[in-house]
Amino acid sequence: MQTSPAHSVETDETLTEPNPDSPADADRGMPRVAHGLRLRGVGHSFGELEVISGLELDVEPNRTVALVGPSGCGKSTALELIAGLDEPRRGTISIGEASDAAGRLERAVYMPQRDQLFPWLRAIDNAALPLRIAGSSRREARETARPLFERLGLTGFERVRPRELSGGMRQRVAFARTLLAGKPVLLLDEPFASLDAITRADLQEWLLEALATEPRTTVLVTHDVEEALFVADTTLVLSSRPARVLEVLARPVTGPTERAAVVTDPVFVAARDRALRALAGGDRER
Amino acid sequence: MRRLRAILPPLLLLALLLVAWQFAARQDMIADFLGLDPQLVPAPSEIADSLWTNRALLADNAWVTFQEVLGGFALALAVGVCFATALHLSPLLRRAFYPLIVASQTVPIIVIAPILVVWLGFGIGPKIAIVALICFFPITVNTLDGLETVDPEQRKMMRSLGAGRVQRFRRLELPTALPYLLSGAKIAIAVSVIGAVFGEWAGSSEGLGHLMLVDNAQLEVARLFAAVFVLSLMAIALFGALALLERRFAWWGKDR
Repeated sequence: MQTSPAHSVETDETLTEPNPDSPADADRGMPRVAHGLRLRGVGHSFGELEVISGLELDVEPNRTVALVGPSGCGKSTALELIAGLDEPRRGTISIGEASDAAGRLERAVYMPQRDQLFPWLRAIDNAALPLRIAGSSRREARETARPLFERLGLTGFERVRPRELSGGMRQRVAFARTLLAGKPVLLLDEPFASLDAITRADLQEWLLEALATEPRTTVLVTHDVEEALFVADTTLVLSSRPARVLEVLARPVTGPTERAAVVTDPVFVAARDRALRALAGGDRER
Repeated sequence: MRRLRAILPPLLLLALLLVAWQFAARQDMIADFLGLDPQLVPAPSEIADSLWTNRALLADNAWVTFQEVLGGFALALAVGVCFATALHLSPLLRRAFYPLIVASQTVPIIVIAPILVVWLGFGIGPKIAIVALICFFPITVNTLDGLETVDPEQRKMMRSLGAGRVQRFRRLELPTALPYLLSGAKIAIAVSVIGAVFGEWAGSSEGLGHLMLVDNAQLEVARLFAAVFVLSLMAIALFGALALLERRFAWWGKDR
């Protein structure tokens, strides 16, 4: 079993400390408390196949961590375990105080790879799905979802069916649905993998802004190094199966959020090269 | 315009066949070929004539058959959907019942019909039971298949959004299965009229099936054809109604 030291996401002075007394923004389904995330010696296998081994991870409240790695390295499994959809075979995963699957299920929300919008629901009703599940009437749920729709640039598309939306818009509706679950921890599984390059770049910029205005503790799984370094505060480069941490990179360029400016910055380029070398090296070791 | 282009070829073919039939019957060609009395081979015009003169009789009997069909179909729909739900929710029930449901389809309905008449009498009861038995299988199996096609990723997503078993069933599995349910219902309704006729043949004093038996015995061939025509019309209308319901309430099935 391979282990690596715990990687803490460094916090800068602008970080808002988790405040248990912060008022709940019920209108937007904002979580009551910001929660940190901690993985200790997490291992998991499907039958004989070991997919994760000795995974350690710390995410401070309201920070974003990206997991980058080759496909099939267990990133998605890690997200599902964090989400509380399953218990890991070994080790512990805790979100705030909760270290059992049921507790994590309450505190984290998992956004699957494809948008998974329901064709039988209008855009606004897809976004409001978690509110309906929680027992709101259709009208209440729509009212609650509407302001968020506006902020995500979806105004005017409330009553449209998913199949009439573009890929980028569908992804934003799916993101609205994820936010409206009102959980403090977001787990995003390659949210932009199915999009074309231009839409993907747009949505990365947009996600960065969305997380600035709606701060959440976020784990972003991706196979795109550039996406990870651009969106996340910290990027962990994982090896192929069983996943272990090869490299830890802090956000290379802080401040500007214009993607075109960030990704061409020499510091960013250097960080990307380092990550890519780590990915390639990790594969060669095997 | 596009719909007209879709409808036109079968309509033309039908018209052509009717004209050919009319001509052949009028010239006694069919009767001669079969070595029959020309009276036994009605032309389409004679059938239409019989349809008009017997309209009250046909309507009364069609109404009886219609009630049997609708009653049996409704029963099969209610029981089938409940059954599919139970089998979906309980793997044990599914393993126990599914093979038996499939095996039950090998028992010919015509054989059961007289037994049901013995048990349930000559009223509407045995007809409803027979129609329900015929409709039950396609509805149950299709609904169950639909419930099982739910994407596991969607199930995970629903769990993560806070949905328990009941919410997952109501907001994900049931809507996913609805188009399947309706295509099962369409198959069921198309064969349901045959069930009603079998039921009437096994013992009855009214209904289109009963009228067919009477016409057969009395060599009222034109009216026999008229009864068959009304029966087909009923099946087509019921099928069309379900197709409309499908378009209105389960259109997402066509998205796949």
